[in-house]
Amino acid sequence: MSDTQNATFDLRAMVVSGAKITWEVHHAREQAALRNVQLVEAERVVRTGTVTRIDLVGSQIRWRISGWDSDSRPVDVVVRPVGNSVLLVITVIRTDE
Amino acid sequence: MFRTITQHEETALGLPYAVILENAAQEILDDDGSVLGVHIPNMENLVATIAAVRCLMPERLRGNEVRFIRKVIGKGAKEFAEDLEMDPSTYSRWENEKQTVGGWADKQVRQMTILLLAGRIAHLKIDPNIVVSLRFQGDIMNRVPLHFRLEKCGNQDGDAWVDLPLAA
Repeated sequence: MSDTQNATFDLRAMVVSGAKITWEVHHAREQAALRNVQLVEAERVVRTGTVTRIDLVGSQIRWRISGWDSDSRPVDVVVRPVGNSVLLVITVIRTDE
Repeated sequence: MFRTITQHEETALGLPYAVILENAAQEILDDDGSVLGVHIPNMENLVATIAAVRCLMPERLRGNEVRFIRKVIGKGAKEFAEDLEMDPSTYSRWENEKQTVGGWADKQVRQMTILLLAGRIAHLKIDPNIVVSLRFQGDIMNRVPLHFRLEKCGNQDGDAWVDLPLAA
């Protein structure tokens, strides 16, 4: 399996085990609002999407999760896994813009 | 580490006003005590509850509230317009607040919402007659923010959100 497939597997395992989807205090919310993506739509992407990119920022892993909003427009959500119990949403990106 | 927030004002749900979440949202703290972010438990249930409770209020729906409700249901704009037997361009003007939602259409949206969300809002025990017999009055902006709290609902779904007047 590729690294992104492994990460998707890890993401699914975290979601199934009840990891808390957590919104970074300001930036992530602002980006979601700016791109007309509701919090619930972004959380759906986290729960059902696929990891399409892995970045290392300092010592922190970031997963870029790709999915769709209610209007079938592509949406990417960047999260940082914190331990096994928190998925910290860093930003929300609309890839059709 | 987690810390429950007494009153969390949520402004990013897609509504034109804030929603206050009482004793439920959690701050996630870093090792040094700084706040990493905020977690809202059972988000799907929260937004379904907000949509349903809003449908019981007599103030006319605003366009951005209709968009919020549609996205909570999980339908695209075109499909939602078709379900309402509406021209998609008229529906688009609603959502973009270029045309007000008429009374008849407003009720159609509410009835469809209560029907489609029934499985997600069973804990509210809503009588559909409330929506059917609703008479519109007032402006929602005079009533906001809306307040919600998380309660044990005693079924396999665990905690569920309720609005404060219903919870009282």
